[in-house]
Amino acid sequence: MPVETSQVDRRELLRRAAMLLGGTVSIGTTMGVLSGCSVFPDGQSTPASAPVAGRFLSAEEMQIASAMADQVLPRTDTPGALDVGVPAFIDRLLADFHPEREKAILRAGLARAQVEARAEHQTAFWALPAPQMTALMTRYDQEAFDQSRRTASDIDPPPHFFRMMKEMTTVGFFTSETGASKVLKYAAVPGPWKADIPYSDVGRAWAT
Amino acid sequence: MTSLKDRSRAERTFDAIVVGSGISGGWAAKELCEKGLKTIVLERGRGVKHVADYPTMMMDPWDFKGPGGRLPKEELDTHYAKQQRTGYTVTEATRHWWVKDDEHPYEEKQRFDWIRGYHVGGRSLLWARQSYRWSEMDFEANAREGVGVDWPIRYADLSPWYDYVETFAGISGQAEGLPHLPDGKFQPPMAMNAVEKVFKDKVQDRFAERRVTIGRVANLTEATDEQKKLGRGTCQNRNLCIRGCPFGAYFSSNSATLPAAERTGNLTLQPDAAVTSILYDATTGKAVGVRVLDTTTKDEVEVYAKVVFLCASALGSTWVMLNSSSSRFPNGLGNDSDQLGRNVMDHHFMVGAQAEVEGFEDRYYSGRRPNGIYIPRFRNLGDQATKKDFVRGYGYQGGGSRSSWQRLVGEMGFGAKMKEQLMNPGAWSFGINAFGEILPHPDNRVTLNKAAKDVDGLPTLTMDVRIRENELAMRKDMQASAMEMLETAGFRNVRGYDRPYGPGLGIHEMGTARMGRDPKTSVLNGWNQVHACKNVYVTDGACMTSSSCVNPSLTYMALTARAADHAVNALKRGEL
Repeated sequence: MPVETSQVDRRELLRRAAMLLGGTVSIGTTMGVLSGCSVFPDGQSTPASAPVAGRFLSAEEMQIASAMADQVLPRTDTPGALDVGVPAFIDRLLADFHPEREKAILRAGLARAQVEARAEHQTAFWALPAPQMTALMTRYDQEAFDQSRRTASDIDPPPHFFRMMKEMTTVGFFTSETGASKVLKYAAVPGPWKADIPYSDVGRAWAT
Repeated sequence: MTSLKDRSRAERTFDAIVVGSGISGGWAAKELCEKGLKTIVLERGRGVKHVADYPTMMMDPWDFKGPGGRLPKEELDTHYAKQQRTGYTVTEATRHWWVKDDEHPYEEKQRFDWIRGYHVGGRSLLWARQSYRWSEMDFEANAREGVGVDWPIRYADLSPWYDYVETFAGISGQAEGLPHLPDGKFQPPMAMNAVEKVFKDKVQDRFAERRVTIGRVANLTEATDEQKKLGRGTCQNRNLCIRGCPFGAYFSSNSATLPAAERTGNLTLQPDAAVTSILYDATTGKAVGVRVLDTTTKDEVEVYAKVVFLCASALGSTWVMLNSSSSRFPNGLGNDSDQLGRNVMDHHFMVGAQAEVEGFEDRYYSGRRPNGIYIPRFRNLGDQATKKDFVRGYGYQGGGSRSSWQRLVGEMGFGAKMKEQLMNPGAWSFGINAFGEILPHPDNRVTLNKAAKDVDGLPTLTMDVRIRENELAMRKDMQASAMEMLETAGFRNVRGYDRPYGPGLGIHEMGTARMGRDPKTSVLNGWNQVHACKNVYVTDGACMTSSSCVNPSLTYMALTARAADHAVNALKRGEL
């Protein structure tokens, strides 16, 4: 069960979920996502039940993206990417926000991860043991870093798929209620402006 | 409310008409109503009630669909091709405030960024709230340098009106005693953070003529009884002002001047009413009213009054005048000088510097201060030491802050370790951006385009404006001085920038119906009256004879209050 579920009432949850999903999906689909059937509960790297396709990502792509998001921001002593529904967020961004070029890059990147996992370890990407999965992701991370340095002065260079994954995971996580207010610190109405105080008085980074 | 069309002529007759409900229109309404005039405010856009019509004001980051509240590119390109040029204004949280460019087009001979909001309150809901007085130096500059025409007023004419509008609006700031940036009636200043204080000390130690102060901003830091009576409260440091403030903590027409006008019982506020022209009576030499298009029904109707205040924004009011031709004024109302639509000014910016700041890891802040630091103009102050190879000057807005979770996306690494790092703030950084004066030039011009119509079937504008030699020379100094100051402060990795600036992007359009002493070379006199049609006052940015380098809204407030006082007295004397 996602962390947020235990802390807000059901109606509020549905409202937020409808918002998160763009208000374009049926209650049935919303409940499906909320019950965790399209993401892996408790940060497991294998799906608990049959994977579900998103609006842009296929069921298989959704599984790969979920596994990556889980590695980028895992659950530690605080919630992680899967606890706040990052995979659904990524799917929605791809469906509603990204231009065709970026969609194609991301799709090709996920396919490549699957091909390389099978070629090098004879298993699906999402079934890789953590050390192999992070090794593969570190390769992509290095490529993404090198590519962004190489193209820094280009106008609108194509992004690396892993940079996109990291960005979408991070944005989705830290703009979620849990990411912003439980992992970071968030004040909807701060009140007085305290301009210069010891960091220890705050103790965490402000989300906004 | 009965629609205007269904009202009798007597019911469409008022003492005063105010066209537009933004910063200037709100002030005109307040002053005219408080002085006893039955006043109708005609606003071309929809109605917006304070608080009730701020749909996104309490939304949290997770309430938005787009990443960080961004809108899909397709929606931006379809409806907000020009409005989105600011890069920050059109978001999921704010899109309802901006005009759709496909509905309200204009022609660009050269890039021109006309960023607009058509609704009750206009851009007073959306402004950056920086509020600075003009100085004597600003009013004298044109005459001294032989640029444009001389202002018909001086600082002393406006100073008491600055006192008056600041006290009502509520401006927070620090008195500095500078002749070129006069102090005002301030509420307590907002404080500087750890690195801003260091920057201030080091810059002021090294440069005697430079001052680093906190921004002067129209957010209440200590609401007065007068403000509390209007339902306004002290700023809660959310820095979400642009969505509309549930506390009424920043000055807008909706939070302050319109409620003040309304409680007099003299106000009629009419949204969805686009004024298309001024009705001029050649026999009396006066305006008798305005022609109005009901944008919902497309009905046209006339509204009458003894005096008309044009406060539809610089280019909006200019459009109304250009569209008001008669046998007496074939080229637009009051356009004997051919200056109507000329001398477009703005503030040029997108030039400055950024740096990283070492240390201060044990310092932080709480709250989101809706304000930054300000460095007043320090060039061409009248002495030899500050004289440069350009005229006029520029000021900087900026500040320091600690980086947040966004910082590691472009770096190597992921996983539990990165997550742990992102739970703490990153290093401090610092940036200052310059805002420079633009000189009036007759060839910087907007004209009426009758061939292209907007969504309401009304003629549109064609813009032909560019920055010229003086501004380009100034930009070099704006960047160099920014870098010099960040280096002086001991910051590292100082990077200057000079990015493409489109006129209008400062959202400070000015000058297209300028004030002056001579009807042959100006449109308005020293009381903001149209020289040749004295019961029409223009008190928005159109009236500006030069542009200074400071944000102009406070000056529109003062000019409007002064003009309203003049109009009421002139009516009493039977002069209008």
